[in-house]
Amino acid sequence: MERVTDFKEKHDAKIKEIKYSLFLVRNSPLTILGALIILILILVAVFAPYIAPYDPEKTNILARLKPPSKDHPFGTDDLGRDIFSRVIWGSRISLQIGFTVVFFATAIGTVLGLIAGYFRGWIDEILMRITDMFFAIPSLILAMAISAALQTRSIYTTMLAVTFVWWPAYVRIVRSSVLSLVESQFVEAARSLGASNRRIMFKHILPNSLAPLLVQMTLDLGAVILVAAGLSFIGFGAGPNTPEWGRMVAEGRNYMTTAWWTITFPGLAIFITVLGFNLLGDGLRDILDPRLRR
Amino acid sequence: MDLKSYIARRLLLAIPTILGVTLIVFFISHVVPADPALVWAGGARARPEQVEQIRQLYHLNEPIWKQYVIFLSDLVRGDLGISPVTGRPVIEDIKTYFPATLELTIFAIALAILIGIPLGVLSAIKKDSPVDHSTRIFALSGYSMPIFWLGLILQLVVYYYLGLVPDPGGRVNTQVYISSEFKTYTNMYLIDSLIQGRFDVFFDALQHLILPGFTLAYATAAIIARMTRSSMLEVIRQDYIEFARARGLPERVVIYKHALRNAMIPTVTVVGLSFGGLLAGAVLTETVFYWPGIGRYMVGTINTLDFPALMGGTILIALVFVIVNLLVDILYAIIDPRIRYG
Repeated sequence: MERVTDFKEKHDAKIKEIKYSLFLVRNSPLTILGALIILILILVAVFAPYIAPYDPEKTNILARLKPPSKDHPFGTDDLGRDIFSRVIWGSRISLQIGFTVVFFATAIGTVLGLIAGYFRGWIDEILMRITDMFFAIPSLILAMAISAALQTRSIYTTMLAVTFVWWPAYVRIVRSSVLSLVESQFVEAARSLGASNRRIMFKHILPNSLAPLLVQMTLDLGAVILVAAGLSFIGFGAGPNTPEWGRMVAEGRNYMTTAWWTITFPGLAIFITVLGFNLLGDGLRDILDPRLRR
Repeated sequence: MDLKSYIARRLLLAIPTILGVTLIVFFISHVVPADPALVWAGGARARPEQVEQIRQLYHLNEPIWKQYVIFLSDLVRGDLGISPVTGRPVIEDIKTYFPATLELTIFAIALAILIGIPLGVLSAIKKDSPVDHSTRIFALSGYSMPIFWLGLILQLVVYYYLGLVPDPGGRVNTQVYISSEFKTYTNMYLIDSLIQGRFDVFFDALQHLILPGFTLAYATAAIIARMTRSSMLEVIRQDYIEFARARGLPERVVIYKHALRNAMIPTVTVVGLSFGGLLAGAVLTETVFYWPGIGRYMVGTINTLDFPALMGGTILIALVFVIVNLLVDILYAIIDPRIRYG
């Protein structure tokens, strides 16, 4: 019992902060909606084999372009594949691309951003000029060029291309929060106690710059999924039979005037997914921003 | 610093950025592919002697730094290579397709400003009202919308189901265009038709622009609305606004004359920055609407493996983006003297 009280006393401020955050979340219905969308999406992706009524790649020429019905809630496509099952399986691909790209972009960007902001000088100068170059080319265009240069087409090429485009944004974010923290007293204190540069960077500075990073990552999950879907719509990315949402819209396009469901449901899936991440990210920003808190 | 030296400084600063863009494109085109000569010659379908010819032509056997110098000097002369598919210089194709893209993006940005600014102002002065909430939903949907899907759904509803616009595909009814002595100067039909007083062509081109223009504008309108809202909220709190009210000025004058002018400053930057997204969006919009612009040209290269064309388009789009931001920075300094003297 004593230990519990001890813990409570020691972390009193932190517990209060967390309680307050939860209070703010409760008062923001759009944030909750975003979180719910993402939660459902993750569950759908994990349990896809159990939810999807049909094999997403199985064709059935006799049942092609059937409108939504009890058997096929979202109808069938031009090869008679069940669109509902394909949309369900597609969630796996989109989430996989989103999480992989954001993970690697954050990892690369964080390390380089820490280095740039902490050491300053020539290394900072070089890194900043490199990120400048990347910002001068729109991300979808750059990802297109890289995908073309890589010559092969798969969701892995898409991941590689989009990661290549995405990391510079994180260098900027981490660097700017490092710059504001490096002068603070707790870093000074750690330094005077003889902490190594690496320890200061990863144990003291990084944990304190997590909030803006987390917000950006959430928003970027949506943005990455959108760019990847665009790439796949124009013909890069997943192979012919893959149930990828952007690709499904491209395939359904030729039949849309007689079979509206071929493009409507996969596109709606992209929209709702990205909206979920944007609602959550937008809400998190309001909640984590200390200027907006009180 | 006076305006002239500010502009000169800003122009000088654009040079390293442009060099950086060429460096990235060079890296993608000469270093990333396993065999650049093969890619430049058109991929697997190219014959060995063609590949060898390309290797000689583009000096791909030289050391990498020398290749970059050659690449740069070609670029300065407007030489973007020759398309292995059409056999024409890439720069010629770009000249043909670029005006269509320019017309579409300018139209879209104008539309985005016309929609975004009033919405942002309205939701700021009526904060937390239903108007504000609807604008927030409008904006979040704009960020989240797959632009290619929006384009297709609009075609389906507005053209196929409701029949409100002409056939989505192309920039102008070819009948109108061919049957008459319509001359092209800028190749932007809205401008060309106005110059010649051809209002029939003007309205026809405008009708063709509405759907792709709105599709492309939506996301940008969303960004502008959000930015205008937050900077309006910031400005409304300032003392000089309070003072203007205290002087007994009508609310309309306070909002539109005093507040909006100052709130516009961050919005101008956002318009410049969102131009990149607009150019990327144009690639998808043009594909969906069969719009004969640079974006559709680039997407076409994916299946024909026309690598020089794709690289040429990339360079062009990056340059346009850099130049637009340069202009925005200069405009910014003109409307806000604090930038120059700061």
